[in-house]
Amino acid sequence: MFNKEVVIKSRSFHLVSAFALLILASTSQADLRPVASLSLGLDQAYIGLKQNAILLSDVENTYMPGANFSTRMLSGGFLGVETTLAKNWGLQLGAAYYQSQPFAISGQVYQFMNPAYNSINYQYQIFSRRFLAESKLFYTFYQRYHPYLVAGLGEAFNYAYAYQETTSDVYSQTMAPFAGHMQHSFTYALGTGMDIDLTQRFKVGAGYRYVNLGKASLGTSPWQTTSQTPSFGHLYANEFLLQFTSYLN
Amino acid sequence: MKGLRLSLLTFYFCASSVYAAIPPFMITPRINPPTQLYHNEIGTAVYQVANRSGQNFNLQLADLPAGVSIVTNPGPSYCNITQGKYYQFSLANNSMCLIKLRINAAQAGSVVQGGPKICIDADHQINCNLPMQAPLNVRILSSNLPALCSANISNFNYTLAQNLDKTSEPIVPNWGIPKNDFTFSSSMTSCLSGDNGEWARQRLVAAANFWVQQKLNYCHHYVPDWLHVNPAATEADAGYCSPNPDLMPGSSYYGQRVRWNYNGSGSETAYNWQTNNYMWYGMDCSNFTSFIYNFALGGTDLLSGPFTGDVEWQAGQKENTETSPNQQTGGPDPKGELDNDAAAGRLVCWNGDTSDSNNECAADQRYDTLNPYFSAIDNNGHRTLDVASNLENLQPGDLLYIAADLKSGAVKDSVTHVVIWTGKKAGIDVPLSQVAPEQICPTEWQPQVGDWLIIDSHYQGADYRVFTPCFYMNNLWGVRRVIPWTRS
Repeated sequence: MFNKEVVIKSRSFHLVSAFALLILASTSQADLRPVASLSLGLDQAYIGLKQNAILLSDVENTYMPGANFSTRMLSGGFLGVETTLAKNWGLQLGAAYYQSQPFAISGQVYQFMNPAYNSINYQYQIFSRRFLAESKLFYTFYQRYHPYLVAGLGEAFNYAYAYQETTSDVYSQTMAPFAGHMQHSFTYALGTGMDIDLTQRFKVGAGYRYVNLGKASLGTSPWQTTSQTPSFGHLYANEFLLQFTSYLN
Repeated sequence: MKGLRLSLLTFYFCASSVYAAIPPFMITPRINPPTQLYHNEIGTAVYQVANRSGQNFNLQLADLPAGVSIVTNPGPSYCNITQGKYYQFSLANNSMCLIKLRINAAQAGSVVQGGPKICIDADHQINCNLPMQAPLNVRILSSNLPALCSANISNFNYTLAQNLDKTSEPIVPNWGIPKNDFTFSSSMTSCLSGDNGEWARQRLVAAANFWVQQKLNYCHHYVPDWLHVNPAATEADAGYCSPNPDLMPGSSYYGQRVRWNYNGSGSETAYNWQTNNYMWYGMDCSNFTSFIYNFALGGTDLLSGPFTGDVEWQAGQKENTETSPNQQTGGPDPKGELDNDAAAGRLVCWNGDTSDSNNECAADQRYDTLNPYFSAIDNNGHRTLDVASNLENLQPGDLLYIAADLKSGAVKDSVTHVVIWTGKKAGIDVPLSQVAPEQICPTEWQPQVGDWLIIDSHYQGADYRVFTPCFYMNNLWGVRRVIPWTRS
């Protein structure tokens, strides 16, 4: 399912990896403290985008989602270093990886873009993985509370697959499904939250991120004569995270 | 007029139905396909295709089962189909046409199933549609059609394979294309002899029943496959089709403009009746009887030629001759005043025999000395004669002519209506649920077990109806019999 060739060719992936190695190498510096985080949470993708696709010459269908959001479990990790910038101010820099359980997209096909011709239902899934260079700027008060802002950018790998049409009408015919398709694109994340020291070594935190997951599109159906398929130019998500952070030395 | 395209005139109907669950290419049965065919038979099905996609398209028929082909140009309301890799035809948005399928059992497998499927591109089947109701599902029997007459009373495959329309004739404005002169299957010719017309009578009633099952409307048309949208036509005009509402008590469609026995699903919806133009298919009473006789027995010696579809002339009345059978000049020995070349068969006498070649009833066949003919109207023009006690003397297929206004029931001198005597009774031969409502006798039409039934095209089309005293019986002008032609 995961397209290794795409991963290998990804320049962003190399950049993120190099960034992580650089950070790890720098941990020998006295003022840098290696840190790792594990994140668990919910990923709420906005999927309520009406999509049109020309499938044959002069034949354009609309794919009207039945829901605006798909919410799935999110997991990920961060590896980086932490340094002090000024009194009570600190910064974490590192590399992160996140993945969501596949988002479920379903709705009705409007044949010829006409809502009256809605007898065919569709569904498919999008599996999203992201590699990010990530930084977290935090402030400390009462010695153990650390509100923060976080930002990241990198490469997303979105795999749209398992397209399926169904109908309960005797007069409609479903089409040969769109193929699965992996698409990689630029991704970024912006967020905020708060970490709380549990001990001198461990922190726990909660946060929110707004994420542009990038592009996602299905592959073509063997029956269509064009290359247009249902697709998201930008797949946006709200992420709600619980983070467990540990210093590594 | 080949490949005629007709606008849907959606403005004429309820706009809210736009969002009913319908496909962009509505395929609806006009003549239902057979459920089974013998190995040596040709089956027929006719579907209407309506393009509601919002665009003009060249459409193709995809995945036709083995043995199924398209009859090209069987009439003016049919799609103008050409054959390349696939059968194809152009159909403008909001237009419709008919397709006639020919099912050759000898070339088919054990079952002919699915479709017809309409696609924009049969090689790339996106946005294709299948029939909303009655798709092909024909069991093919390995044996040949049995020669038994009893097995073929209601077998109309041979006739249906012929054109319903006489395409060599010009179209009469609004009335449409005249009916074809059908030929009769030579394999069934022997069924017409030796039983004094009994087989032919049963076949005639079976033919009427076949067209009742197709749920036609009442229209001023010659044939059942003439599609002509003419909402401006009044009841007195050619091309008129009944816009009357459903009068069936308890129906969810009661009071709505939809056929009384539509079930509300598939193609039997108010939308299909109104906006898909199904209400614009049908025949009037006398064109229905003329068509049914031709359909059942055309090409046989029983029909020297199809009798006219004009109800007065079919009854025997001539121009300026609006008398009834018992009022004919000459009393019990008339001189053929009600005899014209376009009339249907012979007048029937009271004991159930037909009049002789001189158009006379024998003395022992008369109601009384002055009233020889089966009629509610006596020789003085009064509606006094006892029809009810003599109905047993009628034969299935007899044509009963009515002289009364079809709206008010008021008596008239001229023949206004014709019905087919079925010899069947409600609740015994025909389920009560298949007996149609009609507006002339609002309280008396409701069937009771044992009521005599006729078939006529009236109100919302060809149906079984109760032979009510209030309209049919008390206004019976006379009876004509086509089978047999001569007195038994």
